[in-house]
Amino acid sequence: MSTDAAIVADELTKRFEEEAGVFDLDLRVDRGRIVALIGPSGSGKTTTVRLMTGLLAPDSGSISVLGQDPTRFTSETRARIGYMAQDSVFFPDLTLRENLNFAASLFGVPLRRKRRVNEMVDLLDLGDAIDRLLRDASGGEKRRLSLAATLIHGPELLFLDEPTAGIDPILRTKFWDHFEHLSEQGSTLMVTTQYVGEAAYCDLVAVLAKGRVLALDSPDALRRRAFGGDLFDVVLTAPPARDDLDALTQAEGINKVTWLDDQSVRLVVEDAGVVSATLADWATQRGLDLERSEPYVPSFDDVFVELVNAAEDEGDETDPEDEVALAG
Amino acid sequence: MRSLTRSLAFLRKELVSVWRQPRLIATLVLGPFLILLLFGLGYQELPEPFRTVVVAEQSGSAIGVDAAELDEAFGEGIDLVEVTDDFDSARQSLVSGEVDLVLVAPEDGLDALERGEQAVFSILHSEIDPVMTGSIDLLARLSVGQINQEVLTGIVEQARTELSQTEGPLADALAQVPDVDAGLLVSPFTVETSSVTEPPPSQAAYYAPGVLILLTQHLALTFAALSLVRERQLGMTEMFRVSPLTVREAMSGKYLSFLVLGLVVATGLAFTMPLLGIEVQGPIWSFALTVALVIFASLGLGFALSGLAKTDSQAVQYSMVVLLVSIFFTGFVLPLDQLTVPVRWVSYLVPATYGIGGLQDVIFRGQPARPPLMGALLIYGLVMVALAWLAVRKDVEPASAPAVKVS
Repeated sequence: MSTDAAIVADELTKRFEEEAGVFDLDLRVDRGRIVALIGPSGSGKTTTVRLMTGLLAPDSGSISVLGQDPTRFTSETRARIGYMAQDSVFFPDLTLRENLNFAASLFGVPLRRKRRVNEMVDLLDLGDAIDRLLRDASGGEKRRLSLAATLIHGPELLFLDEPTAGIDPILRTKFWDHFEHLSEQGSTLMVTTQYVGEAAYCDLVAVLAKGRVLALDSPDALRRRAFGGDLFDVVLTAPPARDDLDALTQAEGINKVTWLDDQSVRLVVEDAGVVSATLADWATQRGLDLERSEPYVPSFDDVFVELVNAAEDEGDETDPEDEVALAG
Repeated sequence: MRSLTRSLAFLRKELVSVWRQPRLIATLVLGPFLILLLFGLGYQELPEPFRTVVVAEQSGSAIGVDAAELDEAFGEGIDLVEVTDDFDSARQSLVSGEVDLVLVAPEDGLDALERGEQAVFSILHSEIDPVMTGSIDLLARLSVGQINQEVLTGIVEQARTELSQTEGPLADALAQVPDVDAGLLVSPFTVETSSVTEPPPSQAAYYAPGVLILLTQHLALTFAALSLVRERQLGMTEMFRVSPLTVREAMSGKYLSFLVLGLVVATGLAFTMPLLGIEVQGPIWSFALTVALVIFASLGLGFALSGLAKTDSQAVQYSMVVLLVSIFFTGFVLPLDQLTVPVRWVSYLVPATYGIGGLQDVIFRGQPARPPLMGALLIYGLVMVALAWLAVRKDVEPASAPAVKVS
């Protein structure tokens, strides 16, 4: 896997009225990686993608995509990029196949492309709908056509703006399997999503709110960052005393202890891999029996909520009058 | 090769899109055929004769012209409905729309002559159309001239008969005059007109090239404007801006597709002409070139106008404005010479002005369209390509993308 950067943004800013836009975005995406932009509606995900594709020019900062300024992309560079817009836009009087062929022609796929078109049809499960007029197609079929049109020319860099919106969970999993396959083949993907759990498929996740990056890291690192460490669940055979838990809180490598119920606690630990020995020592010293102890992997929805709440708290602390209102 | 693939994608897309819209085909493609056919078959060279009531003494007027002679003098221009001596009743018929004209013969023709005055035929009508008013005036003058000629002929014949029965210097002088017809004597001169264009077109035929050009222009302009506006409304321009598509490729594809479509329609319209008894006397290549240049120029105008339109309905409104301008300022209805010079410049802003003149050359004069007209169309088309370039560029090049707020 090549490690040189496909995307580099440095203090990228695009400002709209009413404080909307993207502000001081720093980002580096290496080739062959999948990066997710997650955040609530209005957080700046689509603006970021539009800046990266050259659809918008930044007000300040710099950006390099495949080594070029997006507003000055050459045709050759554009042919190496695929972009799936948030809204499925095609010609309603053409069939899905005709629309797909139009997109293929637009990106310079040679006219002998039947095999390639059929591959896309199979991949996106469009077999029954492919010869239907677009105006008669369902929302999901339009979304799949949009993705097929983005992939048809085999781009090395993909910008996918909410590709799985309106797609059933089975097909969504299939999409992500294919994205991972593309990544393994060397393609770079930038994906925006409101399905926060999908961030787990990615190499890098940028959490956005109000046009700013709250966090940018790998999914595992973000989990740790959200909760202050790894999570570890402990179940005892009998309820422990308050002193027992105070002693556990003082143990090395354990940052925080939270009650789940009278016999269970959740620990925030420095390293889930080495906490077992500490727990065994603690149980022996306090005369307790451990029924079960295991790492807990929180969902990315939980991670996202923690990060956003933390950002809100931080905002409240720095400027109590400046309320951070995050849209759903 | 990839560039050609992209251009051909637009060709295929536009043609398939049109084919998939039967109502659009019916309105914009079949419609023109039917309009031209209907116009040709339904247009009358002469207006319906005016339904006329003559008000006169039942025994004939005082100067000896009776209703039958009046009917003959006015010829096919009038349809004599009634002869009456009741003027009020005749006027009431006119007001109620039962008749078109009331013709009042002079009662005291001889008295007027003796007083040294002309006897007056009064014609009363209720027409408001200036063209029809002019027709009535012309019909009246020609008919009274005819009546005067007949009266004079009668007088000359009577005088000649009476003189021939007398002796004296006047009779001797009359004997010296060649024995010519009295009618010729009172009307020695006549006039004949002819055209170098043979046979001269009928009125319906005369308008046919104008109709063909106007319909073709309207079709090309509307298709071009709607095509770009619809792509914008659908949001397709975002895909264009991100793709390797260039302005040149998009424009060549669109020009090609609508040129093909326009030529198909124009060819169909051309085949309608023989049904109207119109024969193209000039070279077919010039006919085709004229139509092709009109389509080329109109497409450019349509693309340029699409840059001003934000919605479908705005695009259609603009094309209707151009159609209205074309009807009044291109020589289709009124000759260009009747427009004052500053206003005539408006005519030169519409492709149909050049196209109608060119097609009239080919169809009626039997010669290729005048080179200045074709040159003007070509230059017009090229200027429009430059303006269209600016409109299409907005849709294709990312750098010119408007800054819109998005999430």
